[in-house]
Amino acid sequence: MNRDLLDDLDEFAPGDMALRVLMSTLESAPTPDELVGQQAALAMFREVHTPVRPVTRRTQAPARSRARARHRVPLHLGGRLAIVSTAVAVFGGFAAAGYAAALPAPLQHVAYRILGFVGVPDASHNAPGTGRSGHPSASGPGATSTGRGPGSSAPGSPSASPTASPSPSGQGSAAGRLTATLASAQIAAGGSVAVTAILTRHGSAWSQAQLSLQELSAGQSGWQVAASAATGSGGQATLTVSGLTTNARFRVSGPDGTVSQELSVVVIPPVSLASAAGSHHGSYVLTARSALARRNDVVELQVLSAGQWRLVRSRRLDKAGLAAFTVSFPKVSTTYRVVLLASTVHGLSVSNLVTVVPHGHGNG
Amino acid sequence: MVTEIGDLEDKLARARTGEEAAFFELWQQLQPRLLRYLRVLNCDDADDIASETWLQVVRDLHKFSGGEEDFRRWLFTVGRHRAIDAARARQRRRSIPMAVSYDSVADDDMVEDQVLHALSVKKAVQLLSRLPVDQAEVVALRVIAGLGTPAVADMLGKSPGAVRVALHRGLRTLAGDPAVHALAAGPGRATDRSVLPPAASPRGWTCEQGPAR
Repeated sequence: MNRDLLDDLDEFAPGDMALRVLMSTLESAPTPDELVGQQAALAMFREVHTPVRPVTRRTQAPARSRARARHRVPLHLGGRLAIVSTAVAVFGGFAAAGYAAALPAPLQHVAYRILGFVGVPDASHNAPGTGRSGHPSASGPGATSTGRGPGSSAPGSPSASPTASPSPSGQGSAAGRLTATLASAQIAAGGSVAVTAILTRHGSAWSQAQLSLQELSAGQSGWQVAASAATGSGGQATLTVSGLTTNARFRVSGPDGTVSQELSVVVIPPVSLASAAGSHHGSYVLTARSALARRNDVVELQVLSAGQWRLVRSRRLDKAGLAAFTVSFPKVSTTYRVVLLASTVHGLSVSNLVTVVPHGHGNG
Repeated sequence: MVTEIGDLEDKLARARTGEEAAFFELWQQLQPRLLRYLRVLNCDDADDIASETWLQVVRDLHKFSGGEEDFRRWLFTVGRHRAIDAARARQRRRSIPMAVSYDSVADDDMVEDQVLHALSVKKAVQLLSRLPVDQAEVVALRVIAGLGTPAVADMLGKSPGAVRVALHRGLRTLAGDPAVHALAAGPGRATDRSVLPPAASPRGWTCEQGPAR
């Protein structure tokens, strides 16, 4: 309880423990029913902050969806959010039911189905992996495999027949179950993604089974096999893909049609801010640069004011990944940064700080 | 055990970069408080309103700049606006306002079923919701949302003095309510019936009755 609230309590009900207990109860730890919607909230966050996938055709999609898919128009954030908003209006109704009946899994499933319709490609759960395999080396309870290295090209895409979207939980045959986890859902551009998969059959570890890590990169329309490995004695395998430069989704497929849930990875490209004296007297040029971002990606120049970052203006990167901002020499030292906004292919990234000082004080 | 909301800065910064785990921690810390606030306002569809609130927050998170209290103020402001929208929509859908039943609040069996540990969060929220709405909302924003008087005043469009007056009146009323003392003593006490009448003519607005016009 904060200090001035305690003062208020002391003033109006000195020594009144009942009132203090009431206040403490109001700010006490969450009850289970207050956390029922956590999976749905996460699904919503993922939909807004992870890559916008190209719309692909569903087998039973209505005509309008098919027409949009033919043009392969990526749904950019603004338009996509309008759809998300509509979806959540429906989704919200289920949230109430979830509160009453504690239905987190159905909630999550409903949210996924509604929101996922926007852009989840409906590839088959058991698409055979025909791409390049890694080098499995089973040891101990698990095995590891490494897929594409930096600079190498992606393997050919396996055929993916459209079926229903996978549920967020691991799927497969009645006997087999495959779950996958990420070491990190967000990596620096060029970094590696390690997916740990656990395969079980009738509830027991399933060893020596071949697993494939499938990748759907932002802007791509089909799943590709990025690595493969055999499970170790614990039914576990770690599959690694390196050199990731765009957002991607991953899933693991195994024997008997088992397939894991999809995992999203957000790639953070580097962005830098540099300063130089402007061509006009009294001006300064701040240049934002991001080599791995794309033309027309948006950078925001922000200024630190009273302890808070405030937007100065936005620019789009040119084809060289540059954007220039001209600012006036300030009367007092002023600190800037740029924020590269998230796009379909990368996450949000923040630059170094640049401090512009008044004339005669040098530049930080 | 008290839910601390003092270490949100780091989570907030990481959530703004799209880090799911950080957002999850933010949500876990603030969603219960948001729900309690909405229930103090008698929003029986508090879960739906909270979902819509978080959607807007997630969508605009990249535009947000500010500290921890700014974020809480923003979250609860959005929640309040969504609740007002819901109340207006509800008013349009029906011509006869539904009576709010408070009888069940003091039902011993119901309370006992829902009590977690010795103290019932639900009961506490319901006790608070019996205050006149302007007082209930101020107490909720100060205690549940953890906002300071200036932030609450700004959010409600009142002066800080008016917020303090409403807070003091609310606390004084609660201090005199036997149900509050019964809550402190534990569930199932014979005296846990509130002497507070239902908020028949609340100043301000509720989810049932909609905003004042």
